[in-house]
Amino acid sequence: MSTRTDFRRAARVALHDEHAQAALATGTSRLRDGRLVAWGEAGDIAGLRERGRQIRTATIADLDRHLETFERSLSARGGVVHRTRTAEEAAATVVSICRQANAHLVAKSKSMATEEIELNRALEAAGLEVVETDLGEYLMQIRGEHPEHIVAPAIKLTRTEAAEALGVEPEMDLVMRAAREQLRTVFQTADVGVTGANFAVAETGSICLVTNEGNADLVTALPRVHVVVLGMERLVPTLAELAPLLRLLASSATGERLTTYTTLLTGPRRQDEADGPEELHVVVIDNGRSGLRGTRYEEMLNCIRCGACLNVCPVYRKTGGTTYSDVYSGPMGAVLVPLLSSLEREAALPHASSLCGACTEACPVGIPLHELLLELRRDLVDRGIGSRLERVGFTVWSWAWSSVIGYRITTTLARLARPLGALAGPGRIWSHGRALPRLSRRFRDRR
Amino acid sequence: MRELFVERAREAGCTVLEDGSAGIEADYGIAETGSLVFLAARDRARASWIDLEVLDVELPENRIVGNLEDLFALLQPNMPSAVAIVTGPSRTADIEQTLVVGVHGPREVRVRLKSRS
Repeated sequence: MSTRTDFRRAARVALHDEHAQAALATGTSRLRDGRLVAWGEAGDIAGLRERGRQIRTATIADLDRHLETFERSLSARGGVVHRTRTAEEAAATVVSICRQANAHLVAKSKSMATEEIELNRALEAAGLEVVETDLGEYLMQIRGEHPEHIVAPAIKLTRTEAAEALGVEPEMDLVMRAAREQLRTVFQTADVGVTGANFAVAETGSICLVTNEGNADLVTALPRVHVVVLGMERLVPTLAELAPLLRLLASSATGERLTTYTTLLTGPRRQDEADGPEELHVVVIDNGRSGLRGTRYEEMLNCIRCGACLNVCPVYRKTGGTTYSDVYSGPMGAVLVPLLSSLEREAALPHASSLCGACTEACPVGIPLHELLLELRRDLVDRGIGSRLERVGFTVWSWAWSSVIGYRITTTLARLARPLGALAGPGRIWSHGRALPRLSRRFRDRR
Repeated sequence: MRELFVERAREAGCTVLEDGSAGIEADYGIAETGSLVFLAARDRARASWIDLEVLDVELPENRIVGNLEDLFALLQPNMPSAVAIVTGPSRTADIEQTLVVGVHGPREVRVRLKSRS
C-alpha cells in the first residue's frame, strides 16, 4: 500500500543511490533522444500525432461496439474471448485455462497488463512455474524485483548484476549466451505462452504484439496454448488505423521506425500448419477502466504505453519506477494508478509531479497528463483526502487574507520573521544552497 | 522503392546482397521500414523465421511494397494465422543501455534481392 510518506521515503532512498541516479539519467536520456531523432525524421510528426489522437479518441468513444466486433471476428477464427471485470477475476480465468491445459510451465512475454492483475502470483499460488522471457524482465524476476520502466524494465541493472543473476562472468557476450540458452529451454518446454497485447484489431480479430527481442514470437509459436491478457482499451477498429499507431509507438518508445518484431496473430494455428498454438484465449480486462469512460479522465484510455512521458519527467528521472507502484510509473502511472485502484490509497501519486508539462509535450497521442494530475489534486481536496496540515494551513490563510487587518498582520509578521525562516521548516530546505527571497513591501505601503 | 528498401534494411542492421541463394523466401518487403514480412502457412512454420541464429532469405524485388498500409491492404480479407514483420536482427538494450543482437532470435539477417518478374 502506498501512502504519501511511503512515496517520499522511497524517493529519498532512490535520490541517495548514486548508481541509480547515473543509470536513470543515461537510460532515460537515451530513450528521449531516440524519440526526438525519430520524430525529427518522421516528416509530418504533428500530423501523425494528431491522427493518432483522433484514432484513439474515436475508438474509446465507441469501445463497446469495437469489442463486440473483435469478439465476433476472433471467434470466427477459432479463438475464445473471456471478458472479466476485476483483476482477481482475470487472473483466476488465466489460472483455470492453464489448469484445463494441464500445464506445468508458463512462458511469459513482457506485459504490463499481467503485472496489473498480479498474474505471476496467482499462477504460482496454483502451483505453476512462470518464467518471464524478456531479457530485462527475466533478470528482474530472478532478482525478485518488479519492472521499473514500461520499455526498459531493468533500466538500473548493471552488467555485473545481470551476470550474477545468470551465474556467469560479467561479460555481455556470456550474459547473452547464457540467457539465450536458459530461455530456449523454456520456450521449448512451456505448455502455455502468456502475452499482453499492444493492440487488438477489431475488424480482423487480430492481436498485435511488438518486441525487439522476438520473445513474443517464440512464446506464441511453440507452446500448445496461447493466452492473451488484453486491456479492454487497446482496440483499434481496422488494420489501416493500426499502421499510424505502430509508427507512433515505435518512434516514441525506442526511436525506431518500426519495432524489430511486429507480429499480428489471428486465431490459433490452422489445419496442417506446423506450429503455433492449438488454442488461443483472449482474456479482456476491465479492472477499473470502465469507470474512466465518460469522465474527464477518459483521455487516459488513449495511452499506448510507449513510456515517452517517463523519460522526460523530472520526478521519474530522479526517483525511478519502483517509487510509484509495482506496475505503472512516471506521469502516466501517476494518473492511471489512482484511477484504476483508489485515490485514497494512492493519494501520493498526483503530487509526484512538478506540473512542468514535459509529459504532455512528449505524449504521442496528446494526453494532457499534467492537467489530469492537477484534476486529481482537485479531487483530493474536494474529497478531503491528503495532508491535514495542508488543509488547516490553507483554511487559516484564506481566513487571514479575507480581511485587511489579517492581511496586514500576517505580511508584517512574515517580513519580521524572514531571518528566522531560513532556520526551520520548508525555509530551511529552500535556503540550503541559496538565499531566501526577500518579501516585498506591500504595495499600499510604498507610497 | 527498391533503393529505399535497401537503405532502410541496412539501417535496421540487415546485410543486403544482390546474389546467392537461400533456403527460404520472404513473402513481402516493406520499403518504408526496410522490413521483411513472413506469413504462416502450411509450408511455412513460424519457427522458420524466428527460431534460428542466422536468418538468410531471398526477397523477389516485385514483392517490395511501399509502406505498412500497402501491406495491410494486401493481407485482407484472408488474414493468415501469423504475420511477422521483421526489421533487422533480434536485439535488446536491456542491460546498461548497450545494444546487443541475437538474444532470442537471429543475430544476423541476410536479405538476397532477386530481380525476377
